[in-house]
Amino acid sequence: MSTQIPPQVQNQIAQLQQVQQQAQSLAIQKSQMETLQKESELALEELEKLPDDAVIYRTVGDLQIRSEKQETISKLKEKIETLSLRVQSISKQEERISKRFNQLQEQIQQSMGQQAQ
Amino acid sequence: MTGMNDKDPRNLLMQHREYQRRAEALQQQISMVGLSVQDCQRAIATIEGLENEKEGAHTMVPIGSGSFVYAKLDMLNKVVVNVGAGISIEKSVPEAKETLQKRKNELDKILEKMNATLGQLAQGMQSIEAQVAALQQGVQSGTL
Repeated sequence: MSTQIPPQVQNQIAQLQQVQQQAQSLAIQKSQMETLQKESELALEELEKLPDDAVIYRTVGDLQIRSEKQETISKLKEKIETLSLRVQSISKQEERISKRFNQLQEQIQQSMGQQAQ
Repeated sequence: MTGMNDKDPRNLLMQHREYQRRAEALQQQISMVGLSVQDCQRAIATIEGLENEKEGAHTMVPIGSGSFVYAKLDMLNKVVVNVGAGISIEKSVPEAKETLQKRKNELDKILEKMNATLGQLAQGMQSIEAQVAALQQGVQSGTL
């Protein structure tokens, strides 16, 4: 089969597969970031319900370190902000990859159409 | 679950493979959620078990690889519960039990939904298998 496909189209198909893999990898990364973001938002919700003198621990490696409520809240907010920026950045990359995918798909269809004629 | 009326055997095969792939991924997720449910249940059982113990009672703390160091129970009226994102909060025994029970109920609901989806995928695969069998029968009776 592959001998009937011109080298140029084979190259385009290889690029399409690569772009598809990139898209899958980005989707996984985005999903992981969104999960972490959601988890942090839920933890923040829990923290905000607590009185100021509540006993809170923060994980540092294998240790649990006692922390102040306000300090923990600001660290968590920072973390949520960072995750949100990363999600936005991945979404932009996804848009670019999606455009590239459609472009390659059209190119392959055109090339195959020309070959059929 | 669209495209079930498609009679092309190649499309049916591709659909079957896709359902199988999704079912396998879902099965893995179900196992992980199942482990979390068990973990929650174990924590609740431990808290309940400790309600009958006295402060200062001897215990052992696991340090990994089946090894333990000795310790004494202290502040039995408090439990430190992880709330995600590397944050743990000290709670009273009833509050801790309530938090863990809520978490377990949520996980049970998720597990129920996942099992329902798995059932739908299994039905989808069975339907495709039936269509393929019918197509094969049609081909065989046509050649006889």
